[in-house]
Amino acid sequence: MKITYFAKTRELMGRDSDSIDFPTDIHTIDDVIEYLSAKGAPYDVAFEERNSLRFALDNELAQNDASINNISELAIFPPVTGG
Amino acid sequence: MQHIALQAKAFDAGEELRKFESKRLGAIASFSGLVRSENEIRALSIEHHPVMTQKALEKLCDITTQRYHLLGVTIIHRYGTLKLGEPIVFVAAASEHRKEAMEAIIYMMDRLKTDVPLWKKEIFADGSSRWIDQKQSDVERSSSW
Repeated sequence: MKITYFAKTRELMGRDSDSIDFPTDIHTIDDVIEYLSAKGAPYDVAFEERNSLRFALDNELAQNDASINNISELAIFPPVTGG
Repeated sequence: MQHIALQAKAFDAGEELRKFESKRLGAIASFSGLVRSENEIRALSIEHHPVMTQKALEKLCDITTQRYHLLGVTIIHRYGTLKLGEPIVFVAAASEHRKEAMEAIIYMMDRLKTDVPLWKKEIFADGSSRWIDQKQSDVERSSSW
């Protein structure tokens, strides 16, 4: 699955995307965050403020308990600040 | 008429207002947001999402048009590096009467602050920078509609 990062999350990650094959027991966005954070830097730092992360699955906003089944891209970013 | 633009280049608010045309049109309200001098900032850097930002602006236009029975609506939002005083965002709403147009632009700006994938970073004189955090007051205003 492709994972893309935006704004502060992208800067903390030090790159704008990853391509990762997840184990079969990773079902939701929460599972992804948990799995990647356990890998250490830079994920643990970029995902430290869990409640401040927002997500999109294949370009549609998604909640953290949403399933990643059949999804090709997960976007991770901070709350928006346009206008 | 709907005009939605996500662009790096500057825009002319007067020119945008002159694009509205309808025989029933009795009111046009508009809002321009500018980069203001605060905390010694020299510029703003605005990041967008390659797909979701445009879609979110289109959705916001559709919802606002239906909600306020608008005859026309414009949303322009810039991205990239913008200097002090430069325009960031322009919204305009045209309707038969003033109340719908005026409420529509407040609604659009409140929802834009929380619903459209855009992120601002302040650039300071010494070259350092800081991502702006979402304000709780913006979240409360947006969810009050």
